[in-house]
Formats: sequence, structure tokens, C-alpha cells
Amino acid sequence: MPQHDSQNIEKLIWNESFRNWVMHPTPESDAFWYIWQVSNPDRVADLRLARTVVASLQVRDRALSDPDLHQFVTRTLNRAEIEKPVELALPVARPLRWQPLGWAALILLVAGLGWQVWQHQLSAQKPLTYQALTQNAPVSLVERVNETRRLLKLQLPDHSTVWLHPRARISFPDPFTVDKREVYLTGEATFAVVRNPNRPFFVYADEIVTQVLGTRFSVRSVSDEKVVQVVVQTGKVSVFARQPAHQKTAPPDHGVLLTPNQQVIFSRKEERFRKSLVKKPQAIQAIPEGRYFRYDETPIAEVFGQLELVYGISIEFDPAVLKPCTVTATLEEGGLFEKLSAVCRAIGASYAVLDGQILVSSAGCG
Amino acid sequence: MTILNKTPVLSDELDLWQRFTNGNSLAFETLLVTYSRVLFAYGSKYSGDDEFVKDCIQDLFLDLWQKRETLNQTVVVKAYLLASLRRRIHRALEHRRWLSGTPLDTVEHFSVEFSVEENLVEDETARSVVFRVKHLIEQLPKRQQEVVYLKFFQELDRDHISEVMSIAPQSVSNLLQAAIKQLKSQWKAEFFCISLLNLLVESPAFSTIL
Repeated sequence: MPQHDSQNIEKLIWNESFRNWVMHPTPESDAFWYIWQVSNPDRVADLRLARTVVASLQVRDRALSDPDLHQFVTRTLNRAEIEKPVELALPVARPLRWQPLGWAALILLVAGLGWQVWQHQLSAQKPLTYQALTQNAPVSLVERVNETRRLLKLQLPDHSTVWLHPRARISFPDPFTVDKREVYLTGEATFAVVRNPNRPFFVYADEIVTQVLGTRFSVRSVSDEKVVQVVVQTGKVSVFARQPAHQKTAPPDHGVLLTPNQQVIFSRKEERFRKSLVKKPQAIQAIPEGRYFRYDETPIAEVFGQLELVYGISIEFDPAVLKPCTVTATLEEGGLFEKLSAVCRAIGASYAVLDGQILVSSAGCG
Repeated sequence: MTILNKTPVLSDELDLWQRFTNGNSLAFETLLVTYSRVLFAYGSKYSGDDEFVKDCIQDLFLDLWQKRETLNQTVVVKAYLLASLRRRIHRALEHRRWLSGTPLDTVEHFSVEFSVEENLVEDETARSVVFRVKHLIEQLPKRQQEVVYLKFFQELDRDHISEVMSIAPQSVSNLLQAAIKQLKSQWKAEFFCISLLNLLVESPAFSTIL
């Protein structure tokens, strides 16, 4: 049995950042505590014990069940005289209608059973497809399919919103399980997720897992395409490759963190992530009044600083080389890349997008 | 230049609140869905009557919806809602007790129960430590328990705890200090000769408060 130091354990148990990591881990805090363990090898056993204590000591809450919550919300909205948005008519919803198709259904069911067994055997070696994932899900799922040619807006059991693109399919338990919200997707969809740190939201799109707390982002995973793509509009999401061997384990430690205007493309063939910027980055905040984008001999560092702030994208440059450079221009038109091109032209520099960042290179202004 | 209605994740909550105060009914619904559970869990610490707690939460939301235009635009939503619910429940309980003639000093009765999720505990050492910690917290006076609960289990900071409990920030610090002192003496009396106070004071979580 490992030797424990009670002092260390107590210290960790009531340490805010430690507790936060145990209760709501993020890629950053995972990294921090991983490094902590590497640099304090003699305290790893204490850390494990403290983690157990923090995770297992809970406040016994009387909880509202999903139906109770739903009823409570509806009742309150009624009393506030707000009508609940009308539930959308869904083109396809399982379970399929049974009645007029007695025989056909029976045959299908039998055939379906055979298919399932066959699929199940296959899934051991097969890549992680939507079909395999939904069939092996531990809880029963409902499926929605967009068979229209337009975006289909759906509400999930937690009131998050999904816009399904044509031909996309999504499956999820209704209601969600108590500790997390999991949906399975094939095709393309945009999500606006209701923030709930106690119930993380996961999107399983074939080989990749996207985890969010509450944000707006889209996932594209079309089975006959070679790549899976995730684009972030607001908030932060982390994207992991799924390990085929054990499906329900925690996300593996190789993943990427995406911030607004970044996207990641997962190559199915190479099983690798490539991070880049979206084609047309959007301002992530309202542009402040005043001197924004109207420059009169403005130092280049200030110009880049404003672009970073407005688009939430980091711009790397050599401050020593670019220090003498100033810009005189009005850049109110166009998006990030148009603005960058104009600035770089003005100071004789060039830029490149690498790994979701912008690198500016220049011989200097002189 | 177009101004887009997109905000980084940290201000999502504030953005939601502002859309609500502007009369957006979807934002109101989202607030209800997001916060009813935590409000119910908190409210139940003051009363075992589920329907009573639900009524208080409902009245709170209906009131907010009616007064939405006059509400402060920049609040920390969770702390604000918890504080409002706490006041509302206390008022309602006081009223009830007044009607039934029970003395007023029993009104502020905060009762939190801790439990150990057994299937997360792998071995005996962990079990003994977690039950020791549970026992120590349970021995604390109610007000100290409430501070510990809000600080470590609802993850509120000192100023927000002071808002929720309607006491001065300094009183929050005092209560936490008292809790630590109590934990310290209990720890000494019942377990090893180590000083919990030193441990807690060294931890960043507490040193920001003390």
C-alpha cells in the first residue's frame, strides 16, 4: 500500500483549482495536473486519494427529475403567459409506425436482428461509424433525420438547439442521462448548447468526440468523405480522437482545443488532426467605438493587438523587427484576411496561417 | 462594419441575462431550464416541502419576468438567483411560522446532508479519509456549514457568498475562519496530531479569503 501524507491530502482536498479539475476537468487543467504529477512523483498517491475524496464526497441534493423539470418549466411559462415554441414536426422519428405494416415489419424485424448481430460482430474490427456507435450505445436512443432540403431546427431534451443539414442524422437519449449529454451525429450540424457545467455535452461523430460546456459550433462528418470537421463560432470546445478499443473510456490525452474562428479537420486515413482558421473569421465581440481600424501612423503592434482582440485569433510577429512600422489606413471594410492583407501590404510584410494562428514575417520597415 | 451578436463563452451567462431583461422569452426559458435544478437543490436545504420550494422558485421567476426591464443588467446570475431565492424562502417561512405561532429564531435553518458515493471509493484508506472529512464537516454549526457548502460545493467566491447570505464579506471570512478553527480542534481531538488550520491557510482557496 502506498504511503500517504495526511497534510498533502488535506491541502489538495480544499484547494480550489484541484477541486475544479476533479469536478470539471478541462484540457488545460488536465495538462496542469499532469505536469504536477510528473514533477511531484512522490505525491501521486496522495493526489489519487484526494481526487477520490473530492469526487466521492457529495452533497445529497433532492433533485428535480427531467419530467418534473419539464413540467415545472412549462407551468411557469404558462403562468408568465409565454407560449412554449411549437415542437417542430419531424420528418422521421423512430420507433417506426407498426400498424399498417404488420408483415413487412415482422420480416424487417427478423432481418434486422440478423443484421444487428452481424453488425455487432463486425464492429470489433470496423472503424467507429455512426451506425456502430448508436447500436452499441448503453441507453436507448431516438433518431432524427433531416430528409428535407433545408436546415432542420430541432430542440434536444436539455433545450439545446441543433440545426441539422440535409441528410444529416442525429441520435440521442430522451431524456439525457443524469451526468452527461451525449449525441451521435453523422452528416453536418450546428449546435447551440445550453450551458451546464455539471452535465458536459458530447458529440460523437464517427471517430472523433467533441466536448463542450455551452457554446455554438458545428460538426461535419459525412461517412463517404475522408475528413471530419469541427468549427467553433463561440466558446471553447475540445476535440478528441476516439479509441476504438474501449468505447466508453475517458477521452484520450491527444486532442485539440478550439477557440472561436478555429476549425479542426481530422483526416480519417492518417488519423491526425489539423488545426486551421475558418475561411471567413467573424468578429467575436462588438467592435469598440473610437480608434478601431482607423489608423494614422499607428504602431503595428497596436493594429495587430486590435485584430487579435476582435477576432479572438492570435497573431505572432517579431516585435523587434516590426517596431518601427506604422500604419495609416482605414480598414473598416472587409473581413480579417482583407484587413491583414492591407496591413501587410502597407508595411511590406507577408502572413501565413499555421496551426490556427497567424504568423507575420517581414524584413522590417526601414 | 457589422457588429455581430456573438460573445465569448465567459460572457454567455451575462448575454443570456441581458437577452432576458430585454424581454426575450427564449432566454427566459433557458434561464428556467438552466437554473431551476440548482435553485431547487439549494432551496431544499431550507425546507423539506418540495412543493413549497418549487412555488418559491416559480414566484421568483415570475417576479423577475415582470420586473425584467428594471433589473440590473450586469449580475452574476447564479449568485443573484440563489440570493433572491434565499430571501424569498425566508420571508415565506417567517410568514408561515408567524401564522402558526412558532418562535422566529427557528427560521434560519439550513440543513445540508453529505453523502459518500461508494462506488468511487476504491480502497480502505480512501474510505477512512473521506468519512473522516465528512464527519468533520457535519460537526460544524449550520452557518459555517452553509459557507463551506456555498464555497466548495456551489463554487461561489467570497463576495457572492456574502450576497447570497446577505452578510458582509468580512462576516463570510469570519465564518470560514471559524469553520477552519473548529475543524482544526476536532481533527486534533479525534485523529492525528496535525493542524488542519495550517493546511487550509496554506491552500490558495482559503488564503484568498483569510
